[in-house]
Amino acid sequence: MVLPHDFCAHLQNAFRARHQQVVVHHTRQNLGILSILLRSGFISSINRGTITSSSPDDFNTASDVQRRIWADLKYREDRPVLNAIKLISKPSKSINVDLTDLRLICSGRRAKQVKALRMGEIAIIRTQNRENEWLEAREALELGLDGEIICRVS
Amino acid sequence: MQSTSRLVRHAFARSSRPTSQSTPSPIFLRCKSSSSRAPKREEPENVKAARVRQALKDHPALALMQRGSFPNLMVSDRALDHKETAVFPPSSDSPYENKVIIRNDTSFFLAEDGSKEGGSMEDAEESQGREEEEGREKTKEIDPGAAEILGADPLMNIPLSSGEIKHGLHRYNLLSRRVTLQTGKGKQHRGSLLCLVGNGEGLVGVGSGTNQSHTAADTKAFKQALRNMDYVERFENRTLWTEMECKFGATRVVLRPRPIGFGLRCNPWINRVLKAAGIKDASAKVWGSRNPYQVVTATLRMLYAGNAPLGMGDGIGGKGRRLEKGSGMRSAADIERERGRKLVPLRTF
Repeated sequence: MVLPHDFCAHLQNAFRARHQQVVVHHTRQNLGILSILLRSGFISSINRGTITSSSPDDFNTASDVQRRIWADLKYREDRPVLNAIKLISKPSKSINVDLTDLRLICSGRRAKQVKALRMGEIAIIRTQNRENEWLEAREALELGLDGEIICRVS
Repeated sequence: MQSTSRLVRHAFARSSRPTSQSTPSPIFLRCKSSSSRAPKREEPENVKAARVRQALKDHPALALMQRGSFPNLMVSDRALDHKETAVFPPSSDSPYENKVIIRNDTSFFLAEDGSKEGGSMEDAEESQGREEEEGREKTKEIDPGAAEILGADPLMNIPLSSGEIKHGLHRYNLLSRRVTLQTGKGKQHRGSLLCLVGNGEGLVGVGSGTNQSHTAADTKAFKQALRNMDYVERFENRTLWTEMECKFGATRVVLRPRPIGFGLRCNPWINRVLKAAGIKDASAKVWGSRNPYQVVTATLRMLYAGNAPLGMGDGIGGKGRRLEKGSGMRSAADIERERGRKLVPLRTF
């Protein structure tokens, strides 16, 4: 499994450079994280495509290597909607949160080494559940699933 | 009946006046009656002016004007009705004489005495005559109370009344010191003051002033603080929206929102800033330098919603300025608007 670091850095850089779209590899991880960002309103749309075009038809005919996901970025009043993605769980120290910790960070309290979520901030959790692998912190709380807290987005 | 006002009785009288048409709509009738009148011939200016003056002599409002408590609106005011006129004579392009009048372009405080043309319903000679006759009174733009406080500085343009300035503002003299400049002639001492001003409802500003006399420095600093006031978003009008931190020079400040009744548990300089802004519950921590200028500037930079100020990052106007860095504190509504989603508040405090 490829670590999410490259993807997070690429997305943040694209926002700061005021790009219109970002093109990432077609993996379950990227799809999951981008879906969460779309649901939370950080990006305006995602669609499958290839290296060269964002057309879903081309995606169907392309090989695995050439497949990509295209995401349209959002800006308002000269500012990017996504200001920062900060990683929480790193290869040097992996951080898993159980439901108690999850409840704490969603309600404004620090849980061990994980700071509370600020207003407008979301956290992306990777669970072991096959149905719902990539969830936002509050969604995970609702579904009662715990896992590794990958990053926080504001 | 005395309670039925004169105006109402007058209106009744007008409505019962016989008209040419029998249809009930009063607006329709009015239009019809005006068009049926014969068109008026254009009077010369002198005759018109004389007629106006005669009508005015009988008018009860003239008594007020002569007393000097009401400005004579029939004559152009040298300062207030200042305008610039450009006349373009008939040329090869157009056979007509064109006149362009520009109003409100130059500040009327810069208008020289009698040098600019005044446009009025009367001739220039006649208007001068009237001036001598009636002794025109200048209208005051500033509330006399405010003028007294602010030293009658016409460039203040503060949207606060004198009452608000006198009684309604939080004012803290943060730092009062004696600063010295060593010159060839000796030491030049001046008083310097850092003044914080706020209305307790979201507006807060800081200003500094220096002068040889401490009183003058005091006034300067207060004026500067009033000029620099800006709005601060508050959650429930009592606390911050989110936890935030910033680093300004060697000063690192963290501000946190807190529940009702918590109070302000923070650095004394931050305490005054938040109190002046009307924030009642918050906690803060300052690391590094606790220099008052730095702490106050860092805090205000975080609080003000200075979002992408004009000229930021050299769109035009040069580099982004350090003091305008950051997006400031945003409310939930701003975030909801930019994302197009509702924010669900899950904070338990």
